[in-house]
Amino acid sequence: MTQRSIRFSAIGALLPAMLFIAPSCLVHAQERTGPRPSDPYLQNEHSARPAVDGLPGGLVQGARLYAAKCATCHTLSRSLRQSDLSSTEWEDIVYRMRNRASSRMTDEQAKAIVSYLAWNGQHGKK
Amino acid sequence: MRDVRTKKSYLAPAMSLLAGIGLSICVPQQSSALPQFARRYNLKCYACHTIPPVLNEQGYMFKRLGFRLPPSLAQGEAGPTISYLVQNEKEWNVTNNVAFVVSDFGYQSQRSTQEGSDPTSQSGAQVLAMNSFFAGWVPDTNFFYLSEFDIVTNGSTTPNIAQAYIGYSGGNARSSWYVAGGRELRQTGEGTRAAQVFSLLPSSPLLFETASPTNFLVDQSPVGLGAGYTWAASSYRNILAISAKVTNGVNADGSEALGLSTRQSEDAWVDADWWYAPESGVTFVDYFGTKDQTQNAGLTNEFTYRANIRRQGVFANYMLRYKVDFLGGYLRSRDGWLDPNGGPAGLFTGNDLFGQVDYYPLRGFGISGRYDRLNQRVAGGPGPTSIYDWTGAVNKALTPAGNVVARIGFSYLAGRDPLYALKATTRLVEADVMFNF
Repeated sequence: MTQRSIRFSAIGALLPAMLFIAPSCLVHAQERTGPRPSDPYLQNEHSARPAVDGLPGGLVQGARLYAAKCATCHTLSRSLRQSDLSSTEWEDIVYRMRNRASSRMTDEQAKAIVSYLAWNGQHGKK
Repeated sequence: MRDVRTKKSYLAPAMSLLAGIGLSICVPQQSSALPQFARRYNLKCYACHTIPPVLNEQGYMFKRLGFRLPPSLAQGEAGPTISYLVQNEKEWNVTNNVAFVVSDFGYQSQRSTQEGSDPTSQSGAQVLAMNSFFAGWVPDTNFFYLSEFDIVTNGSTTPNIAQAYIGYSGGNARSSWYVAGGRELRQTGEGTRAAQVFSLLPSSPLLFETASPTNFLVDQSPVGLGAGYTWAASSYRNILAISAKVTNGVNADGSEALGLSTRQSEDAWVDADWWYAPESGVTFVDYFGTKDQTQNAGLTNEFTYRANIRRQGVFANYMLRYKVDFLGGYLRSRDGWLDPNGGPAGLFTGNDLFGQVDYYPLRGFGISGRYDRLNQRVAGGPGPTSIYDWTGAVNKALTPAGNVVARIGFSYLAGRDPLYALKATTRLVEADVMFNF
């Protein structure tokens, strides 16, 4: 192996690693700020999943499905703050979203998400 | 037996072909995620992309509906008309129609070898791409538009209007149509995922990016007129679509004919797509056109030959459990070819294919690998030749919205060109970060 190709390999390995590590550290630094006191069921403003601690057992699945199905496109904070919506209104929204392209949601999953969102509206912010 | 002069006549196109192949793997893919749309609807990039810039089914429908979000399509209910969607669009403002900069910063290291020449190595950190987009809809109408202004391309400052088109969409969300005219990048939102030039890898499949000996390649931005029809089932379980376009085609040197031309001919493209939920699809592509081919360029016996160009392809992907995407494609090439040494008219033939696997262990994290192979032959040439390419990459979104994506990729290409059978290899390592804002 020539001197040049050795240098080529070393740079090629180091720089990509630096490019990945540095921005990741920034992201993790943001996540360490934790949930805001006013949003007990949000782990983080931009977190990919809501906290499930303290949720009634029957709603845990809905919370997880909400994170998997809805938080893909929506930030958690935006939809969870619509706490003045009734169960019927949430049902209308979730079922409309279910019929969109790429929703990947079954009827059962939609019901679980509606239950979670309706409960969150009543109890999520105190 | 070929004399020295004959070799020279082959050497120029052979060199340009090899250079083109080498270039195709070190050129970063076009960064065409449009963050203004995410801003407009307050959505993450993932609403329309698996990882930017790779479009998902919703992104495809978004484009087909004239840059409007696909509405709900419940069983037994009529789809809302495009005009109804227009009435419910958000208020028009500049911010929601402009992506001021889409940038790609990276480090590349490349080493190339070619039979009969000394190996070359290049490396450096650079601005790989910097583009600005203006796209959206004309207020209160069904018209839509897109323009792309490229400031930096492939590490060079080359200001260029890469795309500029306007269209009109009609019908309803279940059964829609559009017409559009202007300059538009091929294979963007036309074709299911395997048929689109955007990839998680540092380069698009070779069969899109490699110029044939007739200087024709699929990945181009011709000026022309196009129309399309889209049908969607309830909840978008199935989407059937067809697109047809008539364009100016390309000049003898492979550049797009953007204005008046002496070619006196048009090219025709047809795409037929079938998406089936979730995120899988099949696409058939057919192209027919003609173009000038300058032979023995620069020599006293230079002449021009008008070749018929034909491309037919089938592309498919299958998404398994939303985690693993299997993609593949085949492109058949049949181009007219007149041997520069006075031989009889014949054909350039290509049977090109690729297979790719994208694995998404987490949202915004993708691991990809691809194998490309071009099997080519030209009348009067040295016989069948092949070029293959192994490519791999890891993509990681650095923000929850997915608008900053880091990538590490590598590629190893080797093979012989169909004109002179010169062996060449190119090895590329690339690390880049793409910003969409």
